[in-house]
Amino acid sequence: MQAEVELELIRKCTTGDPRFFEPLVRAYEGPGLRVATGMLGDTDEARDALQEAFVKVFKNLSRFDKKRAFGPWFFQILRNQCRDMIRARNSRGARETRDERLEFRPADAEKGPERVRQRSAARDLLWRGLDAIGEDHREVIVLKELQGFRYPEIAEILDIPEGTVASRLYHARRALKAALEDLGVQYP
Amino acid sequence: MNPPISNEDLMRYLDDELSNEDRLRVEGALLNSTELRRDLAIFRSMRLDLEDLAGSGHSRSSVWDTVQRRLTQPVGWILLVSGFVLWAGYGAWVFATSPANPVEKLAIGALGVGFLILLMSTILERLSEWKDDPYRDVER
Repeated sequence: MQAEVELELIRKCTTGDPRFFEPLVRAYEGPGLRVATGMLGDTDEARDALQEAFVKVFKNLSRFDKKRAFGPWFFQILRNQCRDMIRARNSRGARETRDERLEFRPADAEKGPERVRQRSAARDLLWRGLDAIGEDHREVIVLKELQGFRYPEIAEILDIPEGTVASRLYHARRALKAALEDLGVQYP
Repeated sequence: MNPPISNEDLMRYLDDELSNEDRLRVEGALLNSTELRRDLAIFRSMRLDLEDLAGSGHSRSSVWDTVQRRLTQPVGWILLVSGFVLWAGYGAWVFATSPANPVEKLAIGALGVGFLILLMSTILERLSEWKDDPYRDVER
């Protein structure tokens, strides 16, 4: 969606009419769900985080700096929501295992059971690897690898200097490699 | 002599975030360093694996309906409660200023106040139970 269109929709939303919020929700729910799933590792929790983030965004639209782009601001709120949910989950003491639903996609069924099993096992390893590295490392990998943000966008979402993004990504990738090797994955 | 390639340079090269000049500098260093080439190959391999995860978070349906409900429901509640309070206040004022028997006024007033006390205490009780409910996040 074009920045001018987004800005116009935001202006109309600030009058309190949620109808103009629908195009923004529909434009950002796909990427948002991907990021939230990457951070939380559970699609149902990710949907909850996404809904909560959209409600917070709508309620705080009047505080949105219209000179900034909407996307990074939205992802910043979503990221904070995911962090809050991870904290709440940890404080409940429920370190839940990864959702099995993430490991299976109906489209895979056409490619044969062995292929499904291999892909499922590979994904499971990756989720476990992502789960094993710290929150800071996981979020930078999710933003870069799962959503494909550029460095300036990542810097804005994480509220860190642009120069720090490369360094954080390096340490995050190293940490993920070490975590995957601990799980038995071998790299050349 | 070119400055050595840092880990950050390697990340920027991998993520296509370098200027042409810097990209050529990294490519030159890659030609001369097996270790750098190995690191790059590992990171590229991890990236391919992660690409597969990017499709995991499929949306079964839009979250818009739920978001819209959450945004409009408070307005509905505010209107309902304000309407109730206004009507109840107006009714009480009309009743209090009517020429009805004072005993009738007292009896009906007691009924109304009693009902409101019971309603409020039930609401507060339910609210406190909900706050302490360890299963409140569990979906039915």
